Amino acid sequence: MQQRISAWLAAATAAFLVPLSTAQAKTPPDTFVVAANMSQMITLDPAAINESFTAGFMRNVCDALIGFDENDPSKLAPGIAESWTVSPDSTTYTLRIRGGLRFPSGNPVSAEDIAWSMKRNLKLNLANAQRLREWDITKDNVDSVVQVVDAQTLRIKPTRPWAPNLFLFAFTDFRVAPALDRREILKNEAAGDLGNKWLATHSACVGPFRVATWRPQDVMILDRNDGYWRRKVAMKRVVVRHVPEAGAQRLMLEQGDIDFADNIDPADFQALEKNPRVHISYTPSLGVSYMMFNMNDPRFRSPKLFEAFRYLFDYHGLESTLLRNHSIARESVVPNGVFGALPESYKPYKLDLERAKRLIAEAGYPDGFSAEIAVLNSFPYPDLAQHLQANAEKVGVHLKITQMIGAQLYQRARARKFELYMAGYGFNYPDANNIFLRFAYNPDNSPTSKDTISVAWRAGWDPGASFNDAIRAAQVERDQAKRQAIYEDLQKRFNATSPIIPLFQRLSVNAVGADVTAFRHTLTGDDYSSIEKR
Amino acid sequence: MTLAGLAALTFFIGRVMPVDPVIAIVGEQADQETYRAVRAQLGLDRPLPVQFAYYVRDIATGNFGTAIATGHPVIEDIRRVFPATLELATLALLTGVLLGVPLGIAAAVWRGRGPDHAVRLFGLVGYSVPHFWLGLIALVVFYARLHWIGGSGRVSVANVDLVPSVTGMILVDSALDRNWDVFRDALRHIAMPALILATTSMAYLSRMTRSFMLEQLGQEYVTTARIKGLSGFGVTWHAFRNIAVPLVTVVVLAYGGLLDGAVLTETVFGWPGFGQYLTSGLLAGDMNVVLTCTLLVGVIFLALNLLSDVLYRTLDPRTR
Amino acid sequence: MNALVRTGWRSWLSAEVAQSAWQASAQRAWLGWRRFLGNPLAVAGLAVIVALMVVALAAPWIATHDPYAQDLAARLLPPGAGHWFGTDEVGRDVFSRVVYGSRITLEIVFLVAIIVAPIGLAIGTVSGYAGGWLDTVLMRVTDIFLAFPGLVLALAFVAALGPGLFNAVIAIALTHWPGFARLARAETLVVRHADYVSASRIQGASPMRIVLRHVVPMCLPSVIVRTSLSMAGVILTAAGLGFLGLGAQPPSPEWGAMLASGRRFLIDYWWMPTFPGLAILLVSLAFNLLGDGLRDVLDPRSE
Repeated sequence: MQQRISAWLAAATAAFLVPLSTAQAKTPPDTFVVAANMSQMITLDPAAINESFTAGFMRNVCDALIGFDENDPSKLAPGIAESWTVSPDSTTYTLRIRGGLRFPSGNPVSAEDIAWSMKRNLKLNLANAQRLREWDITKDNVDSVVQVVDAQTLRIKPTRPWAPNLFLFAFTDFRVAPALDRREILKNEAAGDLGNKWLATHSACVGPFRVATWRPQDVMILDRNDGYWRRKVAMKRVVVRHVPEAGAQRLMLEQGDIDFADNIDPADFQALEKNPRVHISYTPSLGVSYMMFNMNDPRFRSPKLFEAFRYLFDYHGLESTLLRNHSIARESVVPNGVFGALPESYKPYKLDLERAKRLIAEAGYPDGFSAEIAVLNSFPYPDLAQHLQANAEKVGVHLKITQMIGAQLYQRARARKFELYMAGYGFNYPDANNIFLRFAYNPDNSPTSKDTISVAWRAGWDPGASFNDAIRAAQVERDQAKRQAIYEDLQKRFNATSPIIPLFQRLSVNAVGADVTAFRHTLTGDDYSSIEKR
Repeated sequence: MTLAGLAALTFFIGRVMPVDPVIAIVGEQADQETYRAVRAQLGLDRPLPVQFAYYVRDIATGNFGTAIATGHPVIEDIRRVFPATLELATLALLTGVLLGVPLGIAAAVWRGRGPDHAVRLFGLVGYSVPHFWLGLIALVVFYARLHWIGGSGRVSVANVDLVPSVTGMILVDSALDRNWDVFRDALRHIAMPALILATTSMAYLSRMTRSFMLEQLGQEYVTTARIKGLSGFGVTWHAFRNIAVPLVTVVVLAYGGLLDGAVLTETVFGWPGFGQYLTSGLLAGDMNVVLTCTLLVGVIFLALNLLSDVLYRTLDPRTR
Repeated sequence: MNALVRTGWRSWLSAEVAQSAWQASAQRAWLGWRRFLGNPLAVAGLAVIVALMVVALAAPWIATHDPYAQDLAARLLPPGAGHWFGTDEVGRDVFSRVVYGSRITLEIVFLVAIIVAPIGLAIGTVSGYAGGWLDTVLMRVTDIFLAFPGLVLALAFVAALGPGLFNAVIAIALTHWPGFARLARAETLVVRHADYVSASRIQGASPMRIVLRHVVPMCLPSVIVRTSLSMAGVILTAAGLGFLGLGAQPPSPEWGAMLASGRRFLIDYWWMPTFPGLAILLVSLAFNLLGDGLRDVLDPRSE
């Protein structure tokens, strides 16, 4: 009986395992296979996409009017608009739309489609309507601001004399003024929603690829649009698999089952660097890590306290160990590579416990204090927070860490219900205006303010009239050198007075299989049209 | 009446959660106007009792709302993700039965000796091991190092959507389509998560089988049969036939327990099923998803319990 | 007592006829204990749990380093002479963290046990003894809670209450008490028709007294067994919550949270999640073995 059972067990196991050892699949040469965490992908409608993964991805489906020079990312280059002129008083922009462009449906692209998409953006009033509102283009004035001169010419007359270089940045984001296939979208409109429901799962714009299939949290398949205007695209198809585990993505990459892993964990960097079947590189991004105090709490009012905490981080140590190849120390609020940034060498702070302790005492807390720090629960914030906690403990400050997911954390920030806060932030375009508008501009610090988008407001920080005015002045300053000077001054004043402490600038990691011979990564995203494989 | 309580409890949980679903949709950088617009769209600015009233009315009419992450009605999403979990859970249960029951019989037959202790220990380890940990280790050892099994997901990239979807269960669909390559690929992907999910039910079933068998083997008819000279195997077989009925009811109950393990196992293996859907909905504060999924899970549990009761009563003549 | 001194306690315990109720109880306990010892697996379980308690109490002496001391230069070191279980991503000694983590595990187990067992017992016995509408209502409530898989319900509660060790304990307790209530009620239903209970009632004892003096002691053996078995599940659920970031917060060396933060390092730095995982497995297994052994001794009917 015993032998019979063991024989049966052995046979069962063998039968189970034998069919499992098959040869591994390699990816086809004209298909690019990506593994990414697609759980945050909610909609494909350019008027509604606000999440960074979806946005970065859809940049390969919808071109923007203006792009960046591939060799010099600080210069603007033609996109769907092949050229533009700015009037001397900076109030009129005339954009010439590239001729001969067609949508995947076959409909021709005209300036009317673009104007319509901007009006649609404002009418639907979803997440991206504010990207127009921040340039003072609203539902009420859009008809006079945006004018169609003819099928190939778009005229934009902003209500304020923005610095030309600055205003044009607005159009580098496809979500502001995409070229949407108006006829196709309206064909699929449901109950006057301007195609919002249909566009949530389909694409109808000009770009190297179009969305062929999308199953949420499962797979997305992009097919190439033939005759792309910018270049000849080598990849016929891009397949994106939903793989929420970074470890699983890495394994798939090493096995050759995928070409590109979107979420490589820093824990895997060293192993991948040594692996000849994988090519890994790191490029700067517009993402930063920061922490802040809530000045609505009466304990946190003294700039000396804020300064003290700037000395509690071992920037260099973290940069070379824990955050190696993940972030670089950046002690100014404007990241490297952004117009107006202080030089990379600007590093006024380092770990100095003595000084921190002295400053804390001068701020009114000779015996230290206790506080709760709310932290985003994804890498590197828990580790950064624990690093801070350990150093703070040494100078008498007891911090209690509470980790939480984004949705919960941001809610507390909006409600100003936190003591200390640590998270990341992603900026939209490489100009210091964007940074200061989000992190410093705060004309109304009251609880009823409408500017709750401002991180300064969330921190309860009123930078003062001269600061706010300087930000406004820089927006319309036409002399680039003068603008640079204003921003450099603002950065130094920021560090001297703000409860917001910039810490690190994130690097974007790009891990591809060794068969991929070309793949362009930029400050704002990955360019799938540039991919070439062996 | 239990269902009503279930609905109330899930509603309460959903509304009390500190996760803001509006922010999940509009993101951190949304200005006040956008935030308010979307909040009104979701109906969250109405007072709580009003929301509950709408919720009850919606459920009664079969409207379970739209999921934030997918933009589709939750019912549609569940219809899409459930077959994956069904496939996994069924295979796990089959594995649990095929491995657990014989082990339980062996333990009963050799009670108190080597096999009994071994099976007991093995079963208890199955109860005690953290599944997510085991899953990760399995991926590293069997996928990365040994290449015996497939990686994340249900099939390899090359085989996505290759086989027409009839039942939603790739093993069944590929068998119906006679596409044995896809069948093998799917098997390679489902093997490890099913095996790991099965550990708990294996443990449970081996224990229950053992205790049922012991009850039978202690009965008079067994002693009588032995005296009369019936072989060991024959006796065991007779005893087993008598426990088949309660065993079936236990198996049905075990099926429900698999939903619990599915939640974490699916996350580790990137299995696009119900467990993953529920977890991501929970962590995103998507109340429609949370409420509907927990309601569904509760209903399934109740149904399985009921089924188990009914089976027991109809199949076992003694309880009539 | 004189008999004890004269003939030795061993023979007192194995005497054929007990001379007093106290001796009879002691004899029963002694016999149970010897039966328990005959089960090597159960003994192993008990040994592990005792070891856990020792480790938890003596943590400062057993641990080799400060579990919170970070050292960026010594991160991700493999197990070796200086660090028996290696170091984690900020240079903390994994062995010391596992040792101190035993305190948290014990804390969770203890807190949940003292919340769940009395409440479940109380509700179950009252419900079973009182019967009628009270029984129906209480059982409906229990059913509702039982209708959810444990982890899902605990997840939902912690998500509602917010992350943290204390909230996790509450959430886990909320998911476990129904099982106890059910068990206690089942036992109560059997006991309440017993002769001595009826006799007590006739004598005019109040329901409260009957429940406390007669019903509860009958339920105790199965409740004790159930507690031990439940604790295994509690440890796993707590680890699961910690794994999802909803349990103990950093830098707390809770095993589930260590598993979560070490999970990223599983492939190249296997020691980080492996040792806490093994610890969870070992302790959970120990409670299961102990519970099994106790069931054999206290509740032979279920064998």
